[in-house]
Amino acid sequence: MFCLLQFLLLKFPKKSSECPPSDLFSKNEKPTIMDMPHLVMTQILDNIGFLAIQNLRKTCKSFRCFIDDVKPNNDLKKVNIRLGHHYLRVFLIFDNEENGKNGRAVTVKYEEGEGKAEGSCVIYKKDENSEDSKELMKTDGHFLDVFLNDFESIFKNQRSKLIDLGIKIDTFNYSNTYTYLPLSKFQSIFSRCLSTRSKKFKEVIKMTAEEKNRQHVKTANEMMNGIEQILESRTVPLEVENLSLTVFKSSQNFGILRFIKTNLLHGTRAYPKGISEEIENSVLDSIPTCDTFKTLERLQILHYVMTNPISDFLDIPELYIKRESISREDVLIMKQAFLTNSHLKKWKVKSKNRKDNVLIREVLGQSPDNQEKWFFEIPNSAKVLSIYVNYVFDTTFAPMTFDCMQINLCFVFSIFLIYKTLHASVRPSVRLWIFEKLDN
Amino acid sequence: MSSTEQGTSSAAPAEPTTAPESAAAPEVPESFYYVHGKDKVVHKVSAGALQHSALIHGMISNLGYTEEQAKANPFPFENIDGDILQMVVDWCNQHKGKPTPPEDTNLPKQKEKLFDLVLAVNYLEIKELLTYCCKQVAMMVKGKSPEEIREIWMIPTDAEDEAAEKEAKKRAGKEAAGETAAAAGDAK
Repeated sequence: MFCLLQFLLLKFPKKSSECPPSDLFSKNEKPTIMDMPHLVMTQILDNIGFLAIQNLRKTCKSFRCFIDDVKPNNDLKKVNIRLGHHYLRVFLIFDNEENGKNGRAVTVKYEEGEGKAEGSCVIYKKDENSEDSKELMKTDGHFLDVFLNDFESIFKNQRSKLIDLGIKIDTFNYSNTYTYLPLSKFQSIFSRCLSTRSKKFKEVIKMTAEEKNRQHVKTANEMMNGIEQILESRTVPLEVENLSLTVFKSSQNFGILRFIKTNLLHGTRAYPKGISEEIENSVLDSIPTCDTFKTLERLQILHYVMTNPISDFLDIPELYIKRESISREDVLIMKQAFLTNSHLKKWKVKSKNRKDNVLIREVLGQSPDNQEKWFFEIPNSAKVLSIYVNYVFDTTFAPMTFDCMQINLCFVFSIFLIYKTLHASVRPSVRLWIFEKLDN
Repeated sequence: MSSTEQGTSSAAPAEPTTAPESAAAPEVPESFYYVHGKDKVVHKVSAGALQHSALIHGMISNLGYTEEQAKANPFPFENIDGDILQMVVDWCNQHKGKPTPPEDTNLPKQKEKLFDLVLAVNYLEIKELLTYCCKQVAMMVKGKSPEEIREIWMIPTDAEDEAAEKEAKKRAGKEAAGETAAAAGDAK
């Protein structure tokens, strides 16, 4: 008993051998934040919120190291990054309203500074409550480098799952001139007239659209490489519910996907018209064999032609892709996959070749009245496989769509009522089975 | 702790459990324990209230004190200030046998007291109160700039940090040298 009471007389034990930022400052009699045990400090940081954590990282090296080590949970839910011409804007949206005076959303804009050949950056910040952006600071360096430097720790330390991560690169700009004034200081008209460098000055502001777009592509590629490198340095993939990418190269979609575990990938193409070599590079030849790809619940990439074998996508329940053409094997594989795998829900495969319908009819049988719909019974299931072919002109320049989906029986019945083609297009055995089910 | 002591003490709490069966379900008398902090002021707390503290609850169940033994041997918490221990005891009494609310607004606002309370609560392993305290500490710096955070939480600057690190290294070096010298002495 004595031992137990003696134990109580001892000093506060540390809960962990790792001390929070440091226990080197506990000379004062009164405890400070630096005296908090590791687990307590972790619990405090879990409640502090994203913005306060960013500010706390700036206070001292000890806290910076501690935060980078512990990676506390935060309330950041959505990140949308948009790269424009000579600027980059980031929208951050938080989970709750307990972000102090800053509200639920914050926008940060990194803009190319004026007047310096080497590059400078102006950072603006806009809270949800305020109408205008406020200039936060000016700094040296390219605006992209400043952004990557700021977001390196954010992407590395993000432990909790994000609902949305969007990266969007603006398409090309066709205006002929670069509109900003290259000199930061005001110059009088006289001084400009007297200046011997006036010719050079004009050359600087009259940047051609081609040159401007070339710079934009370079910045976009550097940004995607930079983000990819940051994500690669994480020990575990970043978890995201919905990932949306609008990039120039198809490889950039999948380069980033290797390090992000997402349920949904929506990939769109930012059209780089005017630079021929970029247009040619639009065919995705390799599907990464990474685990993050296999856990996808929905993949939607309609602006790139996917040349991979269709069997590469069999793990993905919802698929929207574009192909040069649909082969006989593709049709058979898709039909068989839907009949045997209950996890497959809906696939939409666009084809650039309108004549593929002949081949599809050969494989699936003729459908009368030009209603290119087929229904197949799924064994041991109340659902029916519905396949139909659509001919629609859309922005992806793929006139034909081959749709496979599992539908409920009542939906088949409604189709029957609307089109009155069920008797003709459904095989007799399936038709009998449908009526049996409906009778029950 | 001797085995005989444990035996007698563990037999003691068995008495009240048999009593209710004979009477027409009378209420079991609540047992009380005694704690004191640095100021030696003894606080009488019920076993129900002390259940919030995993540390004390574990000790009570191991010791099996009788009422007299508990009175004679108050638990000494020499490292907890009297007023802080009073706060903890009050909180435990208030929340005895009740579900804990999502927020507690009765926590101290002064940072020194709050930090003291956090350390005491962490030591006593009162999980719910620690959660409230951590939220309260976090709220202190929400929406504040780095300079304001440094001021509120009394965070040393990097320069002070480096100086302290050097000092700690020196101290560690001296201690290591002392240990090796002692080990060498033992070997001889």
